[in-house]
Amino acid sequence: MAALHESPLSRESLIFSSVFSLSAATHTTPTPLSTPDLGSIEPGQSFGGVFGSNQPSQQQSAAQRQVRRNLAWSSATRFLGQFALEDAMKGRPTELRGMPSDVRDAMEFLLMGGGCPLPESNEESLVDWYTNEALRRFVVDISPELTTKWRADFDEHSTWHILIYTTSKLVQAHRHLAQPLKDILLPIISRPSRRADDAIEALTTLPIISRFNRELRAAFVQAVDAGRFAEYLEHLLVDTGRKLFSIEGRGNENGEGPELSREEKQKIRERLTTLLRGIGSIGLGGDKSTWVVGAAMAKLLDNFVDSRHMKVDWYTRNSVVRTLKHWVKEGYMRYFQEIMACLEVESESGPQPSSIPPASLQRCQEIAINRLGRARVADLFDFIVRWDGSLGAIRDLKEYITLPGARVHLTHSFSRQLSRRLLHAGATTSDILDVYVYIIKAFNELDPKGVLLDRVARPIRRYLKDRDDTARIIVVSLLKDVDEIIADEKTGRLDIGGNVSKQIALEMKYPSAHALQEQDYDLDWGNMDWTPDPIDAEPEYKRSKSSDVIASLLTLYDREDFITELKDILGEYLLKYEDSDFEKEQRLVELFKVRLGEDKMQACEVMLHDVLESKRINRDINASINRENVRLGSELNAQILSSYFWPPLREDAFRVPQPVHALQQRYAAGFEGIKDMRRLQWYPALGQVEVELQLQDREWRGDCHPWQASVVYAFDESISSISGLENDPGRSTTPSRTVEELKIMLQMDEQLVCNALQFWTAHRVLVEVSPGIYEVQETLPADGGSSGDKAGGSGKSASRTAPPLHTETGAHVSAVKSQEDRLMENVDIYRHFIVGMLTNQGAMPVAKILMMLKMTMPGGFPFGMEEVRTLLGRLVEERKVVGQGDIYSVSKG
Amino acid sequence: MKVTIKRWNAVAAWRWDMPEDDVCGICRNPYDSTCSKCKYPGDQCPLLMGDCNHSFHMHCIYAWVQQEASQERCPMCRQGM
Ligand SMILES: [Zn+2]
Ligand SMILES: [Zn+2]
Ligand SMILES: [Zn+2]
Repeated sequence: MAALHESPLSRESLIFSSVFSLSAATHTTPTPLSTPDLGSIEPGQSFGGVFGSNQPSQQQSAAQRQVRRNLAWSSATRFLGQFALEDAMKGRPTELRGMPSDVRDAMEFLLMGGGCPLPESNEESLVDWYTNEALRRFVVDISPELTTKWRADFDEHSTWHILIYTTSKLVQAHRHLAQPLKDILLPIISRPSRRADDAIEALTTLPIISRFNRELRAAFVQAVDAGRFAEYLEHLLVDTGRKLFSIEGRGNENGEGPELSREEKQKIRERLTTLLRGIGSIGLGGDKSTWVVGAAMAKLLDNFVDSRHMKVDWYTRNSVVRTLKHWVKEGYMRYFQEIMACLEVESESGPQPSSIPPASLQRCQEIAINRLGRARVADLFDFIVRWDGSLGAIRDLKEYITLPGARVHLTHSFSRQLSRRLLHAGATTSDILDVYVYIIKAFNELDPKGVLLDRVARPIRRYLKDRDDTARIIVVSLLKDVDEIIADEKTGRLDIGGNVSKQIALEMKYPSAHALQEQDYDLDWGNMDWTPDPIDAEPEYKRSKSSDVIASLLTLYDREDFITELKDILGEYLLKYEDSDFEKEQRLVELFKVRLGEDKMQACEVMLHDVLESKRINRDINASINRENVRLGSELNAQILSSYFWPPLREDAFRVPQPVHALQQRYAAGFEGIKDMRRLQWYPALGQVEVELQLQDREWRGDCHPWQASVVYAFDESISSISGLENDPGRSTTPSRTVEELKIMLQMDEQLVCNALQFWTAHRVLVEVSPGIYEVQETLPADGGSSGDKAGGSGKSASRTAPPLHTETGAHVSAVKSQEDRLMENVDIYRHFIVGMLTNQGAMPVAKILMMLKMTMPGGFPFGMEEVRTLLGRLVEERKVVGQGDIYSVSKG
Repeated sequence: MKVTIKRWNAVAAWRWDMPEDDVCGICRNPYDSTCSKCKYPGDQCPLLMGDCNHSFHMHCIYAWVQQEASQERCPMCRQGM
């Protein structure tokens, strides 16, 4: 008692009113015994007589009632005020029982009798007084401690602690503060015998309790920093969910231990439900916490989708959507229900229904699928380029794209990824084509109707059309044997891979199964997979066009453009690989006939027919030539072309070796004998020659170009006299020849002469004895000679494999001149790029420079290491670049 | 050094022994091409020269001659074939 009266009331009131808006206009502390206006009634006298028996008359009214009220007020507040919260909180028993009867009478008078506040007066009700008193007590005794705790900084790990501490403090405070209300005041209010049943009691008391709780809750919220409380609660809900569902930590894997045992999970769960029930019971589980729970659940869902549970299935390549839906139903939703059930204890509407409405389950699963779908879409490009290992990821998207807005999101997002990561100068055309093939296949799986593919393919197709080498690479890839590409990859011959799309070659060899079932898919009534066209299908939309890989590629251009390209490349192939039976080429021509129309393919068919027919003609003519002259050591075969149908060919003319010339004349005569009214015209630079060179210490045998054969033949020991050119008599068996002499002698362009000289020098057959003068290297010097050539040069190389790269170094001349021309055309760009790169990035090996050129040059860099070395060599000469071994850097001087 | 050419794979083109750039008077295709019905030139679509020295794809002139209006005359010079 004494302690109570010592409280510095003015200060308390100040704190109190600074924090709360008081529910009553004024609040008085319990009236002390010495209050002067007590009237005639002695302290301790029962109010019972006054109140119970004789009702005061109207005349007595005001003044007397006021006296009584003051007296009763003093008695009641004094009694209620002695309830010492602090003691109660410390576990000391409170002295609520044994309420003196006069106090009871005073309370009845104030609550139910004439002491009730008069209408339109400023009189305070006892309940209001007690409510304010409880608030005051809370603010004075409990709040400061909590406020201090919440002002302190604490890390995530003390979240549990602070929440449990706070909640239990508040639960205790609430219980003790509410106790006098419930135990003393409410029984008086609801006691009168006229109460008919519990329902009426509830009607009278419930509003009082809830108003009291509301007031108290406002004080609680103020004390604990509601914002942070919500934040911590959210964190706790997420964290507990992660533990219960074994969602590993993101970014701090080492912070999270191994998966918890069943018992540990049960413990955590119980701890959480206890806490939440506490929160619910003190009324903090209202609207605000619903919002907090919502935020936590959203985060938990995100966490789950990003967790190992929802990793792409790279092994069995199945969708994880089924797992996700199961988790939402059996894990996520149950967790959510449990949380809400705990928080809603206050409503006391009994146990929550345990079944989730199907509609909200479905909605929730859709949200989850949407979240997963967006995660997959964000990485879609990576999945596409890893097709078909990524089949599982694509399957994960199948249900997603049935959700509203998903298809648009997918196409937009993927188009952005494409333009950022693929459709730029750094990607080679064959890379883009490879990815395009992946896209066609993956999107066929995703959306068999092809509408999405149609959308995302448009920018790729537009981009591919703008690249010069697209048609060429497509046709080359269709012709190329995929096994050869794979072999090249293994041996690291990237030069070839750069100009060929492996995926197209694969598709040619192993066509996608669906391409065959394409026709009249929709009309197949027995087809159980039939689904209606998607709503975003445009009216003129035709699925079959884009889903077939080969068809997609062939429709990139006008048919005519493609056929022109095909003619050029096919021509080159047919002339290059003359020993082949051209099975693949025939298959390709058949394929193009089906796709592009038979009428357009006449030229290609004639070309194929020519090379096959030539074999027969060769047999016939050679049979007759050999019959008349068997002693010729060499054999002449010819490809007889129907020139009208072939692409323009190299027409470089030069003199072929005399015996060959004689053979050609005989051959032509033979041909014209069989084929009436027809003439033959030779293309000296085309074809291939197998030569055998007998040198003093070795023999060289191998294939070469006709001009190379002609040049080496000019060094034959029998030629020096025939040529009529003067030679040093002492060196008659090893004639020396200048470039000029060879040009005149062979009527050959300087470019071809030089190429041949370099070829033979590289093979160590010829040697440049002084600038521009060449001789036969009859014997290899003993010192430092590479033993490789001694074994017989390149030997009999298979006709399909090109000679080793270094043998044609620096003087690469193909049947098509444009390659070298292109290097020269763009030489300034390349040089500029190389100098810029070396300036910015420091020294680099040739291989790296080549790779960067290939990645960065618009239209690719269709050259190899040698061309890069040539470019670097010139830069070194100009002192712009210095080389050390294979590493080049910018010249500092 | 002794050079032996073991094998020489050459490339040649055939043409009809006709003035270059001349076309069949009926189908207007070059002689080195085919008539409008054939796929392969040469043996499968030969040329035929009339007494008047005008030449046509064989299939072209056959088709022409079979028309009654042609009266079996050369479409170029109206001489009898
Ligand atoms: Zn004709
Ligand atoms: Zn014909
Ligand atoms: Zn005529």
